[in-house]
This record gives sequence, C-alpha cells and structure tokens, in this order.
Amino acid sequence: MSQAPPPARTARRVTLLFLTSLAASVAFAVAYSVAASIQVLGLTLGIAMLALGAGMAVWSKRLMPQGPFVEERPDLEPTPEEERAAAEAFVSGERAIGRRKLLGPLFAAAAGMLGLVVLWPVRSLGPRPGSALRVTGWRRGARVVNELGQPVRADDLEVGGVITAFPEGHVRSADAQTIIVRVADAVLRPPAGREDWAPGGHLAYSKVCTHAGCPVGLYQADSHVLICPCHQAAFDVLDAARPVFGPATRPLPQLPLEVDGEGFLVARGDFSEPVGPGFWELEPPREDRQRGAS
Amino acid sequence: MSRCGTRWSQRPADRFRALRGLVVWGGLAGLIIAVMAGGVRAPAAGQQPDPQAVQLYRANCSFCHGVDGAGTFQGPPLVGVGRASVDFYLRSGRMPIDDPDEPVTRQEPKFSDEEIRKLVDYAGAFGAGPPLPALDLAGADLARGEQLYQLNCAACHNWDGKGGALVGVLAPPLHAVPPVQLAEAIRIGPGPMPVFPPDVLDDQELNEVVAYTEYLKDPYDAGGYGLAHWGPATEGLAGVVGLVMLLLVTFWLGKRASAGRR
Amino acid sequence: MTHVDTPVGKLLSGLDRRLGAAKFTRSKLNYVFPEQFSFLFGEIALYAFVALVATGIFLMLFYSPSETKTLYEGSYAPLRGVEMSEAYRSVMRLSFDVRGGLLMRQIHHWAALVFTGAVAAHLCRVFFTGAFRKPRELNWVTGVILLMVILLEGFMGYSLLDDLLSGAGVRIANAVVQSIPVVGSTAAFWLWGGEYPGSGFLGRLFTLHIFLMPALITALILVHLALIVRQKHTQFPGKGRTERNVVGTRMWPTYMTMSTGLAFMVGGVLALMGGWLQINPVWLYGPYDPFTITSGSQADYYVLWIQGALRLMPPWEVRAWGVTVPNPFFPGILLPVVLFGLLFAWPWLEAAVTRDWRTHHLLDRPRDRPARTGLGVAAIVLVTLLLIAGSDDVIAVEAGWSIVAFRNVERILLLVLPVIAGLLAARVARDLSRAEPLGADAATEVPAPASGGERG
Repeated sequence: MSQAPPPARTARRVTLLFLTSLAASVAFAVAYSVAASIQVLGLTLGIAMLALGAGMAVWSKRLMPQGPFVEERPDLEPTPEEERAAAEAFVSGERAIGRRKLLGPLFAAAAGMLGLVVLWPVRSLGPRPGSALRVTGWRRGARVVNELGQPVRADDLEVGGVITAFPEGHVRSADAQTIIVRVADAVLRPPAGREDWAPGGHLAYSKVCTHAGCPVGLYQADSHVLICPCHQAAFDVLDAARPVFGPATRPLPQLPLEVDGEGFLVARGDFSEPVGPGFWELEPPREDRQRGAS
Repeated sequence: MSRCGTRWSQRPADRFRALRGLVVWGGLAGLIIAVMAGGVRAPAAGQQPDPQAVQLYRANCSFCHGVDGAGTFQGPPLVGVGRASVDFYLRSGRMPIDDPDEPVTRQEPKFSDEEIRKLVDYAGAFGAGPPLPALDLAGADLARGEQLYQLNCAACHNWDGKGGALVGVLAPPLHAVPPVQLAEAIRIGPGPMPVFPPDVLDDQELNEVVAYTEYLKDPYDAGGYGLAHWGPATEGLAGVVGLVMLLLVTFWLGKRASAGRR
Repeated sequence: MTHVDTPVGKLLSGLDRRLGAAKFTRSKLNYVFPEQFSFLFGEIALYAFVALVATGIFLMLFYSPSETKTLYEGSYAPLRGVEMSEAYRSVMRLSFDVRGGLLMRQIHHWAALVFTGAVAAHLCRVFFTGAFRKPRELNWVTGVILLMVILLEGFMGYSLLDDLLSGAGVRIANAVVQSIPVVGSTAAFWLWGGEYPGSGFLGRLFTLHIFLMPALITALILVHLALIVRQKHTQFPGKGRTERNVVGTRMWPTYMTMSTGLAFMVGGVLALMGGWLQINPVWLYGPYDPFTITSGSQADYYVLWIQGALRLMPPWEVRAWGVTVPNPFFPGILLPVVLFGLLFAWPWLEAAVTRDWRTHHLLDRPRDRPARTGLGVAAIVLVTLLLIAGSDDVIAVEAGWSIVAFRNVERILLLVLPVIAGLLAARVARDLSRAEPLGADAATEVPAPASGGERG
C-alpha cells in the first residue's frame, strides 16, 4: 500500500508544468491588457489551464498515494427492525391525523384544486389562436410591394424571374410574405377556378413553407420548382404549388393577382388556404372552396 | 408632231421623257435594292460579320443552335440572349458541349479570349438582349449588398457562396467566379437560375450584390480557423474531435492508475 | 481529541466543531473512487458545465434580449447601417467591440458542444456496463432528465443571438409545437406570445436560459452526485473486487487532485478551441428576418438528429374528421418522446426481460451482455444516420450528388443499417465473451466476509 519514494524527475516535471502555467497566466493578463487577438488570448489561457491541469494530474498519479484502498459499501437494505420502526413511525402519525375520516379527502380536494388553479395564469402568456392562423394582411386591392415597400409593376419581372413581396402596409410581415415567379403564358395550366389568378404569367404563392414554416426561397427556374432549404420540400409552381419532393404534404397557398389601371400588381383577396405549417384545427380542403377571388 | 425621220437624240421632248424615266425608275429600283440590302442583318458598327466569328460559330455552335441562332431540336434559339449570355456561357466554359444531354457545368473555357470576343460580337447580335454588364465595384455599399445577397442569393448559393442542393441539380459555388460572370449570371439567369432584370435589381444594386459576393471569397474570420464555412455541420465534427481528445485525456488519467496494480 | 497545527487543519477543525461534521468529513475525505478511465466521462461533462456557467456570466452582462429594431453602427463594416434586433446588435458589439468578448462567446459555444457530447459518452458508458441497474435506477432517471434539459438549453442558447441561421430553427420549433394534437396551436401562441414571431419571445428564452434552466441543471447534477456519494460508485469485476466493497484511490488527496486537474484540462482545451476555431460566425449569417433563408441550414448537432428525422419523414400526415395531425408531429414530437421514453424505462424494461431485480454494484463487461450491447449499438447507428440526414444537403453539395437519390438511399439505410449493426455487435460481443471469459478470481455475487474498515 505504501508508494515508492517519489522520483525527483517527476517532481521536476510537475514543477515545470506549474511554472509554465504561471507564466502563461501572466501572459494572458498582459495580452488582455494590450488587446491582443483572441488567438493569443485563447493560446495563453489554454496553456495556463492545460499546464496546471496536467501538473495536478501527474502529481496525483505519481506522487500521491495510489492504494489500492478498499472501502465497505453501506448496506442499503434496511434491517427488519429498522423497517418496522420506520413503518411504525409513519403509521402512528397516520393514525393521529386519520381520526376524522372526512378531513383527509377534503384536504386532498382543496389542495388539489388549488394546485390546479395556480396554473391558470399560464393563460396570460399569450392570446388564443382564434382565426389568426387563417388570415394574413392581404386584402382585395392591396398593392404588391417589395421588401423596401416599393410597388411592383407587372413588367418588372421577366419570364424566369422571382421576387419576394408583401402587401402594402404589411412590409416584411412574417405571415403575409409572398414569392412571385413569372412564367411564360404558354406553360400556364391553372387549376379550375384559378384561371385568372396569374396575369401575365405572374404566379404568387405564400413563401411560408407548409411543412415547418421556413421561407421557400429557392426557385429552380427551368423546371418551375420552388424549394425550401430546411428539409428540401419542393413545390411545382405550374401545378398550384403541389408538393413534389420532401416532407411537405400541402401545397403552398396561392394569392390571386391582377394588374391595376397603372400597371401595378395588386391582390384580389387573401390566400387560397391558411398559410404556413399545419395545426390540429386545420380543415381538410374542400374542392369547391375558393377564398378571396371574386 | 411626227417622230418619223428624226433620231431620238434630236427630239428634246423625248430626251426629257427618257431622262425622267431613268431617274424615276432608277431611283425606285435603287431604293428597293437598298431597303432589301438593309433588311439583311448588318453586323455591329455597320461592319461585315467577322469571317473568323462566322467560321467559329458554324463549326462549334450551329449544329445545335442553328443558323443565325434560330435553334434546332437539339438546342435552344440564341436570338435575343444578348452579349451577356454568350460571354457568360463561353467564359465559364459551360459551352460548347458535345452532346445536348451533357450536364452544363463550369469548366475551362474552350476558346481564347480573342475568339470569345468575336463570338460575343457575332452571336450576341442575334437580336437585342442583355448587354455586357458594366460593373463599378469601387465604393459599392457592402451592407446593402449583404441584405440583397441574403434575400436573393443565399437561399440557393448559401450564406458563404458554397452552393446548395436543388431537385436534381446543384447550385454551384461562387468562389471561383469572376465578378463579370457573377453579374452576367444575375442578368441572364442561366439554366435553373432565375433571372434578375434591371427592374428587380438596378445597376447600383447589381454592383452592391456582386461586391458582397466578392467579399465572401475571403470573409472576415474573426474567430480563428473558419472550418470550411459550413456552419454547424463542420462545427459539430470539430466539437466531436475536441471531445475525443478529452476522452483520450481520461484514458491517460485512468489507465496509468490501473496499470500493474493487480 | 486531535490537535491540528496547519492553518487548513485548524479551519477544518473549527468547522467540524460547529457542524458536528468530523465523522462525515473523515468518511468523505477517505471516500474510495475506482480508477477506470471511462468513469471520468461524466466529469468532463461536469467541468464543461462549469465553463458554461463561468463564460455565461460574462456573456449575460452584455447581451440584450430585445427584439426592438435598431441600426448597426459598430465596427464590422459589411453590416453598418443594416437594421437588426437589439439582441443581434448586442451580440455584434460583444464580438467586435468588447475585448475578449468573442473569445468568451466561442468558449461558451464549444463548451456546449463538449458538454452534450460528454453526457452522451457518459450515458453510453453507463448503458453498456449496466450501471443503471438496482439500486441506481433513480440516478439513471435524473441523468436522462438532465440530457433532455441540456439539449433544450443548448437550443435556447444559440437561438438567443437572433441570427439568420438560428432564427430558422426557432421558426421550425414553433411549427413542431403547433403540430401537437389538440393543444398545439394554443401552446405555440402561449409560448411565443401570439402568432409567430410572437412578442417578447427572446426575453422569455433569455430568462429560461440564464436562470431557470441552469438552476434546474445544477439541482439535477447535485442530486446525481449525492446519489453516487450515498450509494458509492460501481466498479468492474476483478481481483479483490466484490459486490460489497469499492477498490480504488481515496478522494483526498489523490482523486480530488486528479479530478481538479481534469477540470483544468477541460478548460484548457475549451480555451484553445475558443481562440482558434471559429464557431457560429453570426456576422456572416446576418440578422434574422422571417422571409429570408440560407441553404445549408443546420442546427447544432445535439438537435440535428431531429432535423434529420424531419427531412427523412415521408410526406404523410393525418387529416380526418375535420382535424389535422401535421407531418412535423411524427419526427419532431413522437420520435423524441418514444426514444426518451425508452431511455427512461430501460432499467425496468431490462430487469423485466432478464428477470434480474437483484442489486448490482459490479459492472458488466459489454461483451458479456450481447443483447444489450447490440441494442445500444443499433441505437447509436440510428442517431448517427439521423445526424447525417440533417446535414445531407451539405454532403450532397460537397460530393456532387443529387439530393433526391441520396435521400432515398438514406431512408433505406435508416431501416436496415441499425439492425445489421446491432446484430453484428451482438455477435462480436458473444464471440469476445466466449474467447475471454471473466477470470476465476473475478467475484460476482459472492458475499465478502464483513471486514472491519479499510486497509492502507
């Protein structure tokens, strides 16, 4: 059990390590004072700690008692006498409080109810969803503007172009964000009821991915696919933004557009469906349901 | 008055009529010839097409893109693609390709600088299209460029310009692309890339976004080694390496204690 | 009566007298700790947590959890004049205009990665050696709760910076909460203070991250350590080691010195990483806005496995009877609940299957439990595949692969590889166990004669 006398060489090593640590610590303080780069700061601090730690490790491993030491484990199982005494202590108390039979359950009911209602203030954390998830800032006649609030004309975009847009008055809005792509008139195949939603080939869809809400920012212009980079949900722009790859299950809601008298793009109503990721109360789509367009 | 017995040249009225006819009909014919000649595409700057450019085009491009860029079933028409487009595709080595099914990717250019210039002049004149962009990066507002880049480019090309995954294709990395080609690509929208015309990104904004993309080729890594700028993907690997190093430290700490202790 | 002459001795003696702690002090100073290196994994985690708290105190003095928009006028030129939240601006100021600020932030973030990794390594060690068996089930449960809490804490931490990358993660978290049946949309509105992006959310994250969660983690760690002290550490079978004793080094001075040395070495590695390896360069991501996104968006690895599951999940959702169970619910809520549920229940599951409810203080060699080892390896392979899936667009770009083909390959691998790996590991374990059976001198259930006190 006793160790061999510590070799002087080991003691020298530990000394060297501690002195290195000391010097590095001072260097750190100096480096900090002269506003050195964080590479110098990290190096000095790192060496100071590593050397100190290594010195302590060597000290403990080579110069301190190694044992092996043996210790008995405590017996975690109680003896029958101890168990009986503990049970007796509990039962005698129970007997004292249990004399009135009704008090126990009443207490449980009152305490339980109090415990429940102190959770009620959680309702103050935020509003109930209500209809918030079903509407955005888009209205009939709302002008289409870019991220700087500038109105977008129908001839700004060329075929193959893409732009992020918002309703006037709700610039940079999280739920009203829209991505507009322009395709050639010849390739348009609008679904029933949406024949005039895309003037001049301008298709406008919600930019909020219906999977988990990231902005659907990638537009693959030659195959007319909008892609979300978070989980690679892909939507076919020519087929009402139906999902064609990835985990999205619902198409991107479409915004009906028209061109006003001055050549600016305006909306004809809100999106065709609620935007964004799904939720419990989301109704399955009805074939005849068209929102917004007149 | 009788014309018998006299020669045409001796009769003043006939001489006048002949002269008038010559002027009128000659002028008319000359006008028609001039109009027809002017209708044929005149080369830029009023010169004849460079014979070397014509020969290059015929040998390398016309098989797929057709005579005068009219297009064939193998390749799209080049009418109206503009000088920017021709310059982009030739300088980035994407064109010419041997096989229409070959993927169009960045490679070493197949032509010399001089040959490209001639082809740009020739094929770029197949109808009006985006001109060669005139960049002025000095003094461009990097902060405005950052905002434009994040909104318009980062979704496909990544915040560091490392490229991105699309459906079936990859958006290429931007680090090896010269600024003029960046600008050309933005203006023409090659392949799967959308097009950003001047009404969407005006010339000053083009300068700004190209300037920021240039900055991304050597961005400020204040924190030390940049770990290939792939974000948490490579940071996680480095974290695991750091952890493994510490696990090895415990191996040193614990192992020595048990060595020869039985 | 003992006389102690040194100053420290006098101090301890004074405390002993006032607290009646002499006996306790002696027993703790003589506490025997086994020397196996893998028993130190948990300590790496503990010391990484200490580094997190130390650097975190510095960081919280500079961070401002406000969503109010402001214009940047600091020293990083490419963002000057850009509109950003006050929170992001405070991080920019800390990184570029506060001396040593970026070092503290990077050490803090590296420490978070090392912390979660060390907890995972420690969990694996405890699992594969069967240290969770009676009487240590309670300790196992506190450990699994700790794992859940620190994953959440890390996610909150990097979301506070309000940059383009972490902001997308917060949006996804909102969608995942919203996908919970019946209560999801209400829960999301309550947690975020309204429809996404909500109001005051960063402030709530901040309070949780610097106060409630660290307090919870500290309390859980203390319970975890107290249980170890009370029950004493497990040990591998070997000569002289029984179910009734602990063989190793003493707490004072050897083990305490060695452990403190490890603490400094952990700090040293973290300081070197913090100074030399860039992590989370938020100035290159730019400030968050809800309509901008970058490709190559990854979460930190301890959450990345959930992102991988979200990517690999096929486009299935439940729409019936007028309600919807959206797609993100299955990989984002159900999968973690099932995995953590299995983890929680494991001590009792294994005891029921092996019909072994006895007390165990001696550990298993992993090879002697091929079934458990195989299952553990299968789980590790599963999580690794999910991590790869979470970064598969990065891999696709680097390798030049089509993401469409790659993702289908990943799905097949996910179903097949864990099973194969598990069976293979079980086979290897069984072969190794047969080739090198436990030595005859290794005690298993032999009750040692009650010997008095310690030797040496």
